[in-house]
Amino acid sequence: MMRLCTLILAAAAALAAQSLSWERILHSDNEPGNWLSYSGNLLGHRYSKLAQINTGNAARLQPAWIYQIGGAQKFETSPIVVDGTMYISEPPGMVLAIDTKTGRSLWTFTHPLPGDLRVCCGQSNRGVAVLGDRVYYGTLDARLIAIDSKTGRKVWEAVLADYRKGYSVTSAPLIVKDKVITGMAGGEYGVRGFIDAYDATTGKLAWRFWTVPAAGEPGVETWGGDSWQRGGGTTWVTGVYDPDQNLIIWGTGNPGPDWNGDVRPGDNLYTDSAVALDADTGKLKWHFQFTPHDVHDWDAVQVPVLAEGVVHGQMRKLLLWANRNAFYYVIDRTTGKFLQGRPYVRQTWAKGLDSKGRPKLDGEGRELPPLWHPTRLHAVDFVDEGDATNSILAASLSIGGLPDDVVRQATELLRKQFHGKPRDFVEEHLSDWLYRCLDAYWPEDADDEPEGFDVDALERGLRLKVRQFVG
Amino acid sequence: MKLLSVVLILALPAWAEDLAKATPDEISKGKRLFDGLCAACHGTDGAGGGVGPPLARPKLARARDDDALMQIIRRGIPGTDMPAARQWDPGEVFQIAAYVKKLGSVPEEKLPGNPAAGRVIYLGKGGCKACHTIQGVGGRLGPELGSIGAQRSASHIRQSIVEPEADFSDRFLWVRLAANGKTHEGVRLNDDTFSIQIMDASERIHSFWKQELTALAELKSKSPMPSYKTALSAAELDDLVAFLASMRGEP
Repeated sequence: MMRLCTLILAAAAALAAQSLSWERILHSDNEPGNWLSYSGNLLGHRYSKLAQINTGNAARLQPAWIYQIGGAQKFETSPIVVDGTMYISEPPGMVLAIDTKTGRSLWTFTHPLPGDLRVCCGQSNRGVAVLGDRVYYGTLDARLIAIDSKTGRKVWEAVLADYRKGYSVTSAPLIVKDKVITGMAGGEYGVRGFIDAYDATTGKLAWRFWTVPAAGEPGVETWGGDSWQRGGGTTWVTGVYDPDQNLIIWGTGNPGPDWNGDVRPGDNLYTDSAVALDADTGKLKWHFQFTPHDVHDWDAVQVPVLAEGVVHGQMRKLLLWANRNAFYYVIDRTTGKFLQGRPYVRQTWAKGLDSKGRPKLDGEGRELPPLWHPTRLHAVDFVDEGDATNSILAASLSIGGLPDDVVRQATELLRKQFHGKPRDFVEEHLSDWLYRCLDAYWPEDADDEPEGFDVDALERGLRLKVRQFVG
Repeated sequence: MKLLSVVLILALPAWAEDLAKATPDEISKGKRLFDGLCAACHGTDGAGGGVGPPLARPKLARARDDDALMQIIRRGIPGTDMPAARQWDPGEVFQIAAYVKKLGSVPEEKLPGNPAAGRVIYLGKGGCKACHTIQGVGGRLGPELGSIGAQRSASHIRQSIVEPEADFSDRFLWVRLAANGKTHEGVRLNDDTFSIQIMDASERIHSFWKQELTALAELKSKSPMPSYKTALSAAELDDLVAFLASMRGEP
């Protein structure tokens, strides 16, 4: 027994040397052989300095090993690599430690998921975070779990919110000092968004920042009535940390409901925004809203990029952001002030950005007709699963390239065919319906289908959406 | 008459939901099915075996209500050894669940030891913490014990303490191997045709391709855990068993 105890004491010393300190995460650029946080470094660079693989030899790459995941589901994990072990999440509820020499799993942690989950977009998870000898993992039933990094055993579990109300976690946590920061998801289900910080050792909630202000708080005036209560603003992609200012910078998702802005008049702060929070207290230091009163589902959940550069003749600390609304933004990250911005792809919704970075819309203060518009399929009472189904089907039909009148008539047909039917029925007959619908509008002797129309893509899109929203 | 048959049809599915309404006949059919398949892991009368947790408990950690219990029988528990039992129809699942529920209505045996005193032994004289974790605290070589009381019967726990090699799980197999002129010993984490990974006594993980090895031995009769048969008095053993049997955290 004595000998064993001595061994264990020696073990403790060895472990201390191996475990992942905050200092190492903070200076991860010094360890290009590891990947210590979601974006490789805390500044959101997602760039590896390793040079062994280059343009000269990339064509000759061969697999060193393959780890085969268990099912053909969404697999979005960003692996974390610490000293020869790779930590990944695998759908639907697993975390694995993989030996980087052989590709074999050292342990598998399985979180059993309840059968009545509500997730909009598949059983996604984007990865884990590591600090010390713990791996941190967010679950689809809205929990944050700490797992021992050597054995895969659960150490603690914190419940963020009630998954039955649509809350979930799909993003990787971010370690900042002694805290685990996590976002959440569920913007299609009338949730109210937040960013949480938990004590890494105990799992106790250190602070919560609500991305949608409550009655009486500054910003709630940008929400009509009590619409803030279901305002969305979820936080489902991991943010970054600015060590110079001790600021966490994180993007927020769409306001809820996504496409129908009528029920939430106002700018809807702080949805579709970048928020900068004091890392110790979670207090808001500044915010910048990319898309006020969004009706396009333009979540600002891109990974923020922190850099230094000269803008307007002055060296500045910058925040760089390629937003889903088609504009690229350069922002002063000490103040949140807009410096520059312009579209990086063709866009049709705004005339440009004003000097404060706010989109310029038409003369009546309304947005220009969007590419996706809910009124196109307004009447589709498809199945009783809430507004989201209708909107998403509308969107799918529109992006399929169908002309307006076809969308309208297809809608009517869709309604007659599928109103009140269970999902299995819809799945079984969708293809049938789609082709009958197309035949009706493009008889064989008619001209060719419009250019760019892709019926396979449309069907795939529809099936995917039906599965996500009616599943 | 017509009204009556409608009522009967409506009434029929109700039995499938309420285990408390199971008839003695249904329960005894449930026992026969249980003895044929479930008892191999969960023990006769649900007393617990080497693989499955004892089920003769008023509260089951995973099956918090009747629906959950039937769900588990039907679908198994992913990530554990509990398989799905798709061969049974809903009526049979109901019968087994009703029998399992009845097992839990028998009062649990009273243990002679004192859990608080057992905790002191666990942390002190026994040195258990060096190799076992409870809620993340402790050593990593041996099994987690935070829910051992829910997973194993008291008699099984006692046997593991005095006779660690009696029912030794393959998941904690101790191996000795040689590679590159060095010998390593440890708990096997993974072993396949081409590679093996172990955790040594200092909890360091080693990974080898099989072609690197010059020797490999599975020490099947050796548990890294010492026997406490003589190290603890009978009273101390009772206390330690009582403490471990009280560990019923969420698995």
